[in-house]
Amino acid sequence: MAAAGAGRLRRAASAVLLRAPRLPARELSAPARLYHKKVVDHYENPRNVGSLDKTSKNVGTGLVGAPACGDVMKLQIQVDEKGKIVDARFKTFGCGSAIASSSLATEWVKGKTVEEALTIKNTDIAKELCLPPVKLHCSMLAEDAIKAALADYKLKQEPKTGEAEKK
Amino acid sequence: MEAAGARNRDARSRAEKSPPERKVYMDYNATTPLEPEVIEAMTEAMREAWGNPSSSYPAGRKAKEIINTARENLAKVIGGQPQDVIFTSGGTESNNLVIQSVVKHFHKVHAANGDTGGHPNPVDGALPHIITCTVEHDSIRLPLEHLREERVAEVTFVPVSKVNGQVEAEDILAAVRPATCLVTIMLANNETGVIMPVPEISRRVRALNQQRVAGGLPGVLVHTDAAQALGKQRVDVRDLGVDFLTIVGHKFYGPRIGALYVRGLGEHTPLYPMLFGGGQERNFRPGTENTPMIAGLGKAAELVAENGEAYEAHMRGVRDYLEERLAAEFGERIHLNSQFPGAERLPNTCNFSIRGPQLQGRAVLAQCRTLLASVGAACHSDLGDRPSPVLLSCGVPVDVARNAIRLSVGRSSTRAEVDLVVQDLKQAVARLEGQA
Repeated sequence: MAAAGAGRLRRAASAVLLRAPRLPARELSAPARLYHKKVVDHYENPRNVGSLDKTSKNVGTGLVGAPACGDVMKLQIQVDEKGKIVDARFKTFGCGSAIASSSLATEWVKGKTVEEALTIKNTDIAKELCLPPVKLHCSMLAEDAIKAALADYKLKQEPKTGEAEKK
Repeated sequence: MEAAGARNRDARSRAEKSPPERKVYMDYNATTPLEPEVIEAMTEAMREAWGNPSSSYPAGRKAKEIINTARENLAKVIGGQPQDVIFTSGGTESNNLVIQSVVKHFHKVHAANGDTGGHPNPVDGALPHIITCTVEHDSIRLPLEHLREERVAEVTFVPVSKVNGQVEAEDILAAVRPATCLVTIMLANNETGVIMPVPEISRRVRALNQQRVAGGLPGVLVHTDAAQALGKQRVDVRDLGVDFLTIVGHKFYGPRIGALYVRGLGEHTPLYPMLFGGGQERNFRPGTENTPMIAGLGKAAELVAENGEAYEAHMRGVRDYLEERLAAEFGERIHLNSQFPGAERLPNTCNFSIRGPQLQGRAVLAQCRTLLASVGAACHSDLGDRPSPVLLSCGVPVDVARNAIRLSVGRSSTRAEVDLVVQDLKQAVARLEGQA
């Protein structure tokens, strides 16, 4: 039974996939869109999910978005004494594109210095993941998350604000 | 085989039938929905406080209390005193009230002085003179034009600068005459979002008044229509230095009534009523009070007092992202009509034109499937294809002004909605140009 069901499903799926080449011509209407395989990859094989110790002086935490908007990203970086990001983790509440954007962000910041990480732009993330136009805001939020994490880390390095509990 | 065929057809029809088009409202300058807390305050008042607020038994007292609390909340959000706030049916009434009041006051004080003790009246025989600018809302412009036609008052419409879209304080002061009794300038323009230099104007008028009053001339009063500004940026009558301020509920997630602030109402600043009746609002605006609406207005004001900064920051963030995406998508074709160098503007308004012969604002919006917006003031939707007079006054060329679209975001607008809207606009433009 299951095999037969799967067979029908595969045929139905291929019927949809056969449509794919015609999508560009029909762009002006609203066809069903498929997630790009890069986004699906991050979704199915997420990198760097998790948390770092936010009380540590070498950890910068960025928390951006709002549940009401449907997108929340937490991105954390661990920086060594030379100012290089040696580890990064993320947790995201949101759509596949949001998850992929923040996952990619953690991959990209690793190995960069704090200054280099500041140059990561939302447009680069969007291009890398081939985000459709209606999901570009997800890459924007990921850029905000990186900047928030870097800002938090910088704040912790300032002599008088030694306390770890910052927003 | 049969079942597989059926599934294939289902899959095909699922792929062909698009989901119901999601609508994105970006016309918050036209009007705003009511916040849930506002609706709650209103329905509670409808249910529990229906008594006549002038009655002395508990049901009436309860309504009276609600009105007093609302008045306090309104006063607080604009930095004024509760006794200086009166409730009206809306911005149009408040604006009309100010204008006709200053005219009446002028006639009472100066026309009557004809034969008292033979001391010369510098404005004897002159009509009261009012100064305003060329981009005001109809509820200021039309009453003034009407007074001018009826030869009841003289009016100067000072043109706004074509560089920054603002009216210059210098030009306002230059237009002052002996018989000037009122300067009325909107705080923020509804189409471009430009913020007018009201504090500077008030300061200079105040300085001028010291000399004027010493010379027997009427003091010039200052009014500002704050309809678009309240709820989007900080509005404080002490900083603005105005004598009158118009408040409009349905622009800050409140109901369709308004209020008028009058500095030192009944003591420093005179107000002559338009209506005569049962004595409510200290006879300045009689009529049995609309308790539910007033309750809603008070609650909306309370929300702004509590969260105003957050609202402003959010709207600015979304609007700025919108302008980034528009620039990225349309590049050189886009002209941002609301960005004037050196002028502050509302955090939520984006007036832009996409250059192109077939891209009149209304035509583009008609092709949009998601976006709900307007080309300018909602009350001008009958202008047809004529470009907005406000934009033309600001120096926007005719062919660009014709293509103008006004987007105004709100408290619940998101960047996700911006993405959808930009996509919608792109497709609308493609359709219009494909049809050439």
